[in-house]
Amino acid sequence: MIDLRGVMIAIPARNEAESIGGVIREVRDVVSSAPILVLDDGSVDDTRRVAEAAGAEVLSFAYHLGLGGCVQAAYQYAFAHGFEYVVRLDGDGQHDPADIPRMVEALRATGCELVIASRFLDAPDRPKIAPRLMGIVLFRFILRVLLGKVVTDPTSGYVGVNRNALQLFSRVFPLQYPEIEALVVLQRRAFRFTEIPTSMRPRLHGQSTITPVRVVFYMIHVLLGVFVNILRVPAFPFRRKGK
Amino acid sequence: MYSFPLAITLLAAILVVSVIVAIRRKHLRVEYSVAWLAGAMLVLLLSLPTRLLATLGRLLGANSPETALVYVLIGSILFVCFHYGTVISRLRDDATALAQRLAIAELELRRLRGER
Repeated sequence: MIDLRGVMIAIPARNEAESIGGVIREVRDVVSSAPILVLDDGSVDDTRRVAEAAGAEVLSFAYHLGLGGCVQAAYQYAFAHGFEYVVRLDGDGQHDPADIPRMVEALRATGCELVIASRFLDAPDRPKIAPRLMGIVLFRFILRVLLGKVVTDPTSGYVGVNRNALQLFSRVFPLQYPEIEALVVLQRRAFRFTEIPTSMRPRLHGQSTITPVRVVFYMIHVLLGVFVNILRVPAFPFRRKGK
Repeated sequence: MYSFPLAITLLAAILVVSVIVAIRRKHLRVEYSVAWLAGAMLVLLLSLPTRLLATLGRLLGANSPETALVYVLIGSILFVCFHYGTVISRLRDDATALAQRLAIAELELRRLRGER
């Protein structure tokens, strides 16, 4: 049995009233002791009410901040309240909460600052939208060059972080599309990350907002963000001893 | 000596006056008026009956004072756009930080009131 004390679960959600209750109950079944914080990013439906009724606490934002802004607020909250680990999963039910204990265990066992639950590490799930697959392949290549390490699922939104990363991300975090840029932010400080395998499930309700046009915009935005991050931060200013 | 089109001179003068009036009425903060005033003053300066515009045209490689004027106007507009880009970016970051702090403070308040 894995000790899940000091773990907080963060679930970004926007207009996920139909699925968020089920996701919270599933998470509760797996990690009954961990606080669940739903990040309500300007929903116009009953996401907040449903989440509270299901037993979660809710950070409700005054307007639509974007994914990065929401997640950073959760990291700020977790760091201020002394949590050791935060696991973030989506509110649409695509991420299986059964992986949460393995993610925490991976953070503890490896000492890595961040763990990614990868769809492609063992099970070769393939994106159904061609531009999305193109984006993942492109970012795999770029990250391999920049980080010197293979990241099989750089766009995964199912990630866990430890307290070192919480401290860093509370101050510096990409505000729009955080997944890939966050890896560069970590790497620039000589922090480490690892991946564990997972499998994606279909959405419980509703439609994905990802379209080919948005994927192209996403790729351009993230590419710019990655290179700006490289230019912005002096290389390895906070390298830790023993790493 | 090159005779500057009166319409451009008037436009620049109107812009300067408009910016000053907007500052007085507090529709525009002084720090955000600098880019507009700098652009308008530059055009006004070039409109004085001097050889300034022709000289500037030669320096910029323009083949006529009119072309030099277009260069200056485009440069001024790009400068103003860039300036406001930086202002908007800073405001967006500030707004995000405020929204984050507000959401956290609201949650803490609900907890203190015993609503959660």
